[in-house]
Amino acid sequence: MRLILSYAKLGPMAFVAHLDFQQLWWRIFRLAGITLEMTQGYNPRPKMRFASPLATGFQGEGELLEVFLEEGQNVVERLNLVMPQGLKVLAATQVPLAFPKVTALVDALAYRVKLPHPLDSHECIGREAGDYLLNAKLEGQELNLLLKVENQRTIRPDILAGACFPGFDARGFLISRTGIFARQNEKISPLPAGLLLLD
Amino acid sequence: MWDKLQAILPFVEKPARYIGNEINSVVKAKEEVLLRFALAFPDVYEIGTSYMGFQILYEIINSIPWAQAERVFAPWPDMEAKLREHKLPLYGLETKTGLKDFDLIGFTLQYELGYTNLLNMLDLSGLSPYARERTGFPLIIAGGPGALNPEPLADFIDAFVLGEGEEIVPEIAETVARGKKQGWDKEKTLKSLAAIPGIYVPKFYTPAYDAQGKSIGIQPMGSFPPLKKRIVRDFASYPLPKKLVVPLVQPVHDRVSIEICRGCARGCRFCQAGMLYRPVRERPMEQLVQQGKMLLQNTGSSEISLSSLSSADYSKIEELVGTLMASGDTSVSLPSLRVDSYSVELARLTRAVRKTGLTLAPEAGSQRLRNVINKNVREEDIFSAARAAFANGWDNLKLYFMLGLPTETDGDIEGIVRMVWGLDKLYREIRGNKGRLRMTVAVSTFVPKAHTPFQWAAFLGREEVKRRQRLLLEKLRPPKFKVQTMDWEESKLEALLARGNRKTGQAIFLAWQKGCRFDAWTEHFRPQLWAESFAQTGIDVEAALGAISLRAVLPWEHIDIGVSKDYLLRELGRAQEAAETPDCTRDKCSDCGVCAAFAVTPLKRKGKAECD
Repeated sequence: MRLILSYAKLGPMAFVAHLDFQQLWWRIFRLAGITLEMTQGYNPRPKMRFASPLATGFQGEGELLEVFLEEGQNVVERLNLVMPQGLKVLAATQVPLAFPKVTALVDALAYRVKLPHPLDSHECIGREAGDYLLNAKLEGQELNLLLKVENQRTIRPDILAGACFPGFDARGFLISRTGIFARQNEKISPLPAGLLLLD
Repeated sequence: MWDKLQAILPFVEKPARYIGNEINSVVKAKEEVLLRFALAFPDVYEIGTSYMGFQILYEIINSIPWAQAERVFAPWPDMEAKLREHKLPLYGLETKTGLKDFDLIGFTLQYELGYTNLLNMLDLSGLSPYARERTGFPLIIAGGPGALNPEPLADFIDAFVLGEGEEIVPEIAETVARGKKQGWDKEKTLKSLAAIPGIYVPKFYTPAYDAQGKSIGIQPMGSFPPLKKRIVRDFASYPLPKKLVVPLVQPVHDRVSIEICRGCARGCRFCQAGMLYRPVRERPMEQLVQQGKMLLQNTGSSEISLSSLSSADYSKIEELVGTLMASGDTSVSLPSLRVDSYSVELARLTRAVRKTGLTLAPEAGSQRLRNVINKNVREEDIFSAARAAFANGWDNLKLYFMLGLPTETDGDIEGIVRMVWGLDKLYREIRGNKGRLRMTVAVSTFVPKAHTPFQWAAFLGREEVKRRQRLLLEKLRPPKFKVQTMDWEESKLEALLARGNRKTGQAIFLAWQKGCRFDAWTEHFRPQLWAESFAQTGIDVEAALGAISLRAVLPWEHIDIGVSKDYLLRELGRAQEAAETPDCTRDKCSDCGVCAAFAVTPLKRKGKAECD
């Protein structure tokens, strides 16, 4: 069976790099006693796909992960029982085997950037962003960005925010990815829990 | 603390090294904890988390309801810079408590080139590296093989733990906790610790030197138990850990490890582990199978490593491998194999999934020199091992040798060349024109180590080592062969620290002060700073590297590992005659003294080893 999991990666877990994070998921499934289907070939690996890898240091509030399982009873509870602190499965949606790849569903990504000090306007990011910036909203010391993904390419929110703070090392922004968005599309049925729709 | 860390972690490489939060890590509520015990590994996270000894002690300490064990590793230089810039202390990964607020910090001394990291970790905790300048707590203790030649660190460590830690570590925790409840000061606590057999508190002992500055022995100032290493009373029934902390940064070896036996009786005369970890003891197979399966279940790992100094020597090794493999998707690895076809066949059994290379360690190129070092390996063992490997599809062979062994001549080095070419020819005979053999020849430099028959031997000089390395490099050229040589300067430092005395500590301190860190990492190793440091202390480096007189009192003479000096001298004599001494688990007792010292029944294994 094919499942799309929605999960959060918060606090210290944000600093686990993507490759190590993938290994960690394999371990978590084994610990939970859930068997993942393996890829064919010389060096079989569990079939697992992240909607969009998260940069090291970014938190994720609603990330998506696609897995193929032999059985899927109480997956959410079983996984959460063995998860390290900061990692939590929020929901699981079973999708048909013919469902589009989770990586192909991603049309936009939303981020919340904590700024070193408040800004009067976010105009400073305009030029860097080009077509990728779909929306920007300032709320006190927070900048909310909605960034387009096209052919699996996008732009980094820390680079955009950095344009407003010359001289500030962009690695120092605290950033959360708040959501993964898809365009309205009749192929996305059922709509996986945690996948948001662009209006 | 987390808020402050969050501000610096984005700027360092591999930040997950510093966050804790791993599966199976233990965090207790503050009000339950009477004693905070840091397990400190003086190297980076990925190295330290692979070390099983700490996984064992972590579980033992955390099983005490009122004790919290936390782990701490040496921060990489980028993290060190950030900690210093933000004035943050080094902290325990579990609760992010600064090390200064612990009751005990226990270092493991697995190799000498971590010693500057140890001093640096104390400094980063806001503690003076010098024991005499630390008037209160935490107490700094140290164990592991390095603690059995403790003098180079005697000025920095409050108490050394001699030998196996499983039983003595809870005794230490209880003593320090009792003192804490009763308000003992550091002096009183150290006195109580010094009364535990297997604890060496250097401040209660005094070193003496002769006019030439040579150590003439360390004397107790008062009445203390003899300084004899501890061993676990009943190894066979001592439980393996139930859980292991699962690292968040890919470790060097991503697998769980179970110790199937402890000690090795092969008696290689250069090998320190072979002397220190005696007597040889085995765990029953049923226990290993049951606890191995539980560990896999509790860690989510699928690979199990059967660790010991010589895994193929375990009495029921085939049965053990077979049973573990029978349970589905588990793969098994054997990290330390003998050089014989039996071991290769065994390795073949275990390699269901991956085709990694095969590693063999003949150590020396001629039969004469192998007899000198008591390697107990014949030319035909090496060739039959390789034949089995090639026939089973291995194309990747790594061979370990040592240069600079006592009595080595150019003829012995030519023996390495002949052996390597012979193996290449053998591969062609077996495989015809199919396949391509990749052979790596890794050549280290012999370093004389404390408590071994070769402890009195000289460390070979730079020019001579380079010349001997060139002999190999010229005759074993790429792309056919790959020769890896060890940097002589690094081996030299290892030699100086491995046989150092209390004065050596001054050089370690100076080197750390000048900026030496991570000396085991070539990119950070600074031989020039070390040379300056030794020069400043007035230590005669040439003399320290030379042969030691058999009459001299050795700097580690006051530490008793159970193996008698008489045996070491006899073995040195047999080496000079190129006479072999058999493995006592399969042949007659060589009277090393260890079984009597610990009142254990000598282990006897069935039959003679194939290579004998």
